Formats: sequence, C-alpha cells, structure tokens
Amino acid sequence: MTNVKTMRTREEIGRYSRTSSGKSWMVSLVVKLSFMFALIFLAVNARIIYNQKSEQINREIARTKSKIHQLNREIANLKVRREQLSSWPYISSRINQFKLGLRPADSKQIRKIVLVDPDGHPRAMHSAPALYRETRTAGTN
Amino acid sequence: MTQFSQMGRRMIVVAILLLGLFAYILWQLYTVQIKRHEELYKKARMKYTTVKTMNGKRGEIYDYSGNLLVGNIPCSDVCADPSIAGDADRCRVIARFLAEKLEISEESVFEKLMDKEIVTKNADGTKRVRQRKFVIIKGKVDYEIAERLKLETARLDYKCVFYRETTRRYYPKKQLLANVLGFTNLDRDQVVAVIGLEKFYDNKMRSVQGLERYERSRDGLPIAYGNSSMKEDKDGFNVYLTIQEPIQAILEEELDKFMERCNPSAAYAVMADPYTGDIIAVAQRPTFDPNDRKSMKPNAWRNRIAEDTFEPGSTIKPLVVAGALDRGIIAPDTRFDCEKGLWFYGGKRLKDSHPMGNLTVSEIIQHSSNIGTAKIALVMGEKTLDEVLRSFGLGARTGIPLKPETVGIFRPRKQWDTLSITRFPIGQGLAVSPLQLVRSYCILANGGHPVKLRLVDRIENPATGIEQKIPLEKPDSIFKNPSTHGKIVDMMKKVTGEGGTARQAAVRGYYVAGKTGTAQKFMNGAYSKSKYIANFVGFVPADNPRFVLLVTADEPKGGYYGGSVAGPTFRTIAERTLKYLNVKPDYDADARDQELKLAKKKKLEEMRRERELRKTRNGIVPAPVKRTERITRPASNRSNRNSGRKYRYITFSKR
Repeated sequence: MTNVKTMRTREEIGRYSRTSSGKSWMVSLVVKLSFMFALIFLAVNARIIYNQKSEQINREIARTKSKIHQLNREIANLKVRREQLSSWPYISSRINQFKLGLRPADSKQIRKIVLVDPDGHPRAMHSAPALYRETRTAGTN
Repeated sequence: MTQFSQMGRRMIVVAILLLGLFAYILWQLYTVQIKRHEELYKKARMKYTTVKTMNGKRGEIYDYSGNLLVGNIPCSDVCADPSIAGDADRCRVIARFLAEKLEISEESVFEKLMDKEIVTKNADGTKRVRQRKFVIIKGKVDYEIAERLKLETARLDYKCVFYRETTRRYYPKKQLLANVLGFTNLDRDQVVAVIGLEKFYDNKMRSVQGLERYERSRDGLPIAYGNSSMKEDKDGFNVYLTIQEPIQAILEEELDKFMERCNPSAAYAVMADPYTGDIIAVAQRPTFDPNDRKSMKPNAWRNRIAEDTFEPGSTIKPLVVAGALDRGIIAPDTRFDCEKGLWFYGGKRLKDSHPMGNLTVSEIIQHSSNIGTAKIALVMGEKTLDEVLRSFGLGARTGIPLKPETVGIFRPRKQWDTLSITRFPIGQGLAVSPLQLVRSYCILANGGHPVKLRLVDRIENPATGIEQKIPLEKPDSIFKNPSTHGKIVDMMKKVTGEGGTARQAAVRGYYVAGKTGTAQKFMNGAYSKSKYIANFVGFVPADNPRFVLLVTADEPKGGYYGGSVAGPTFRTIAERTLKYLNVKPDYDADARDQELKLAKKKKLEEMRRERELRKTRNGIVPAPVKRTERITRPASNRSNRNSGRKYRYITFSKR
C-alpha cells in the first residue's frame, strides 16, 4: 500500500518517523547536558573567582593587621619616649646641660593679668590691679 | 586457533596484572584513607596548621593624672638560623655586620652562627644529630635599632637573620618613685615581679596568654576556609596611683640636694593629703634606676618608708598633748616645771637640750621640752597615754599596698615598765615607720579623723575602660572636743615661729604647723652618742592644710637637730609645692616684713629717746662705741659659766 501524497510505503514512513524522533531526542539530550555542564562550569568558575577574591581580601586583611600591629608597636615606643622626654629629671638635666639658668616663676613678675577674648581683644575687668601700667597681654615680665 | 588462544592467554596475564595493580592501589587507598587515616591526617594538619601564642600586655602604672610611670616598651630579639647561614666565610661576614650594629663581640656571634648541629642521645644510647635552626644573637634590642637592622639585613639578603617581637618592662622616669614601683625579672620568658607595687599588684597586672590556631597557605597566611580557633589574650589591668608626678619630681630633687648638704646614710620624705590619706609624693635615698640593673644594691631596694622603723623622738609630743587637751586634762596655758633641764624619775635622769623653768603647755611644744611632756603624760596616766597613742595609729599597719610593712614597736600596756610613761611621750622606747608617723600627723591635721593612707587611686581594665576606685574612708574624729584641733595647731605653729625649734622650716607667707624630732639611734642595746635620726614633720597651711610632709635624715653629718637638718629641706619642698598647687598665702609676707621693719625702727627710736632722756637726767654721756668692736672680758672679770663668751661694753663717763 502506497501513500498517494508521499508516494512512500507504510514501512518506509514508519522507518522515517522513528529515525527523526531518535535524532531529536539525542539533540535535546546534548542540549540539556551542555546546559547542565555550562551551569556547572559557571558555578565552579564563580566559586573559583569568589575564592580568589576572598583569598585576596584575606591577604589584604593580614597585611593590614600586620601594619596595624607595627603601628601599635611604634605608638607604644613613641608613648614611652614622650613620657621620658617630658619627665622633670630629663628636663632639669637639659637645663643644667645647656646652662639655661631657668628659675621658678615669682608672683611679683606679673604686673598685670588680662582676660583675652578668642579674637584677641582684652575683656573688661571687674577690678583692675593697683599696678596697672601696661596694656600688653598677661604673662609679660 | 593457536594465535587466538595465545592472545587470550596474554590478555589474561595482562588482565591479572592490571587487576593486581588495581587491587594494590585499592589496598593502598584503603591503608591511606581508612587504616592510617588518623595518623596521616594528624601529620598533614601539623604541616599546615600554625599555632601562634600571643602575650598580652602587662598592666602599666600611671600617676594620678595619667602620666606613665611604668610601661612596656616594644623591642626585638635578634635571632638567627645557623642551618642556612652558609659557610665560615659567609658566617664571618654576617657576624661582623651584626656585632658592629649590636655592639657585641664578633667572635660570640660567629660561634653562634657556626654552631649548626644539636647532638642528643636517644634512650638506647645512640647519638642523634639534628640541625640547629634557632639561636638568639642578642635579646631585647631597642625598637629603633631593631627596625633599622631589619631593613639592612633585608637589603643585604641575610636570610638567616630574623627577628622575634617582644616587649620590655620600662621605667621612663628612671629613679623617680623607684622603690615604690619595684621591678620585675625574667625567668624563662616568664615575668616575675620582685618588689614594690609590681609585686603587690602582680595578679592584677599580669596578662593572660592568648592562643590562635589556624590552617595556613604556603606563604604562612591563614586560609579563608580553613579550620581556626582562637583564645583571645588579655592585657593586665592598669594601676593609677595617688602620686602626682610634678610634686614627686620636686621631692626627689630636693632630697638629692638634702643628701648633698647633710650626707646622711639614708634619707626619706613622704607627702600626704591629710583629708584623703592620699600619698602625693614619696622618695628615699639611696635608691636605684630600675632600667639599669647594675646600679641595684640590696640596701637601695628596701622600701624604707614601709619597712624601716625609728624612734620618733619629739615628733610624738603633739600627739600626747593633743590627747591630754582633748580629755580636758590640761589647757594650753597650764604650767609645768621643767626643772632647769634635769629631772630624775624612776631613778633615771631625764634631760632637756636647753635648761628651762616654768613653761606653759604651748611653750613645752614650742621649745620641745622632754621633762614638760613627761610630766603631762604622768598627769594623763598610762591608760590614757596608751589609748591616745593607739588612736593615732601607733602599733598598727597603715595598710598601704607595699609588702612587707612593719607594724612598728609599741608594746602592749601590760609590758610597760616604770620608765615607759615618761619615755614614750618623748618618742623613746617605741618605734614607728615613716608612714605611721605621716598617718598620725594626717589625723592631727584633719581634725582627728583617722584616715587610711592610700597609694593606689584606681585600677582600670584596659579592655573595657571600667575603673575600680579604691574607696575613701572618713571615720569619726578621735577628738571629742571640737576645740582640740585648733589649740594643738596653734601650739605647733609656734615651733616654726620666733623662738621655736624649727625656724628654718618656716615658709614665707604661710603658717606652718610642725614638730622637730631628734632621736639618738638605739644600737647594740644602748643609745648611740654620735648617731642620730633627725626629722621634721608638719603641715601647710596650718589652718587648712594641703599636705603633711615628713623629712627624715638617718645619721646626718655636720649637725643632728631636726630643725637645722630637716627643716630647710621641709621649707624648700613646701615652698615649691605650694607654688605648684597655687595655694593662696596666709598673709602678705612683704607687708609683714615692712611692719616688722617699722616696729624695729620704732623700738630703736624709743631706745634712743630713752637713752637721751637718761643722759639729760643723770648728766652722763655715753662714750662712743666702735660698731664692730667686740671685746673679750678680761680673765679676772670672767666667771666660769660665761668663759669664752664675747661681750660688747658700753662705758659711761661723766660729762
């Protein structure tokens, strides 16, 4: 029996349809597998990139930590050095070494005390000292 | 057919071989993954796991305002790995370089670098040779030197040299407060506190070691996803003292001058706030620099202010008199016969340094009469005297955080002998520590409140910033009569005034209440005739004291009276401290000088007028006197008592 439209026998038609459906199945499998592999590839790649980045940050953290540690040590060293330099025994030894001849302040040295505004103008005083001679700011000898 | 069968056999052989190989691999896999899993996993972990110990910072010590007194200074141990140092020539070059930079012997560095093997013996007696990978070239190298060296060794590519970070206990103010602060030693990398506050607060200041365990990559950095565990290290607590560094510096400087002037075998000074009991400054000589272990001598270590005792001498008299005044036994104007300086009681004689007659209680304090004070004590009786002295803290520890602290010597009343009642009130037969004496004067100065001396103000946890304040105590006054304080202070003011025993301790512009003390040292069962302890203790300004100050010299040379030895140092310390604290003067010293000058002038004028009046009345004209002429009275006119004295004669002649 021959099909008038295709002029193919029934066996031929059956064989043909079986082959074409098999091919499409394989194609779809390949596509699906490729897609899956692509996804896996992407995930693995993303993970690698992520790991790389995190390691990079990790290193940066370690470097910064080490820098902070170094700075802390330097600060500790400077702190002790500052204390040493600002101590009276050290200052007095320098005064003697350079023969600066400094002496403790005497209250008689102050002739006038003036309160000064932040902009530098002297404030009016409620009571002026008797020895009000100079108009310069406080602390002059 | 034959060909096929031969092929088949070969195939079978190959298949068997492959199967065997496969089986072997499987067996190995089984061994590695299952049978030896634990052992191999442990080994691998050891390779890539790092354990890092972190030593926290030992607590620091600050003064009241936060000035650092004891700190930790970073430094480095310069180390080397001899196994990679190279041959002798290379080692020589490295040794020369390190020796020059670290100022150590080149030979010793060379020897360390060439010592490349460690030979040990196994349990069975066989020798085992290992490579030496670690030697310390120089420990605790200063931070700056180590940092410079690090750069240079990196530039010269000395891979065998490496650095181990560490810290060193450092005392930036050197001798300042050294005895109180104490020091630490190192024993196999462990800090051991030896004396002073370092020892007393060791438990608080000691740090807690931390431990970090992590898996590392080839370059030693931690792996992000590796296993890690961490036990945080903890810094020790910081201790804040009641000491004020600027005043401490004044005290130390003046004590050095005192040592130069009087050359005593030891000297110390203690300053305390009478209201809070805070020790503001404390110093002693001899002392040491805790950074320089070579200067340390055992006699300089001792904390004399807490450990030593001495007979307080006359400094105890105001306590006795205050007790008697408070109980109404005496009044400031009650008179006692001071027996012209010599009095016998219980078969033993008691002397005054200057013969005195009938004195009021005020004058007894002013002239420091032993006989007068002993008589006051006799009126008080043993029980009251014992109560009074104990209420001022004699025979009890001050509780200051310094160990050991002496309790002093003050026998229980049951053990007193006949003489005790006349000797204890003049400071003989009992002994106090400098701190005990300062505490008793704090009680006198603050109106009778028995304060507890404090050396530590607060303790701070550096991690949280929380501070634990050492509580202030203000117990009830031991004076039952509110006027007692004023009366005793008025009496003590006279000590530094005109006619007092310590005019040299007077501070210009301020009233000083104090008392001198001159005690013979009790040595080998008898009082020494040449060795004394001279001291002066007082408070300024007398009516509203800012501090109590004790200055003591042990065996001073060239003089031994408390007033002349310790008085001037008391004055200079007090002057400088009052200026620093900006304390308002009690009176205008210049105006007072002017007044005194005027009064003197007026008196001279009156005397001149009187002379002229007498002249006109008697018709006698005084002969002119050479102003600087001093004539020794002729031997025939001299009595034994006045022999050697110089007189100025005014001869009169009739006109």
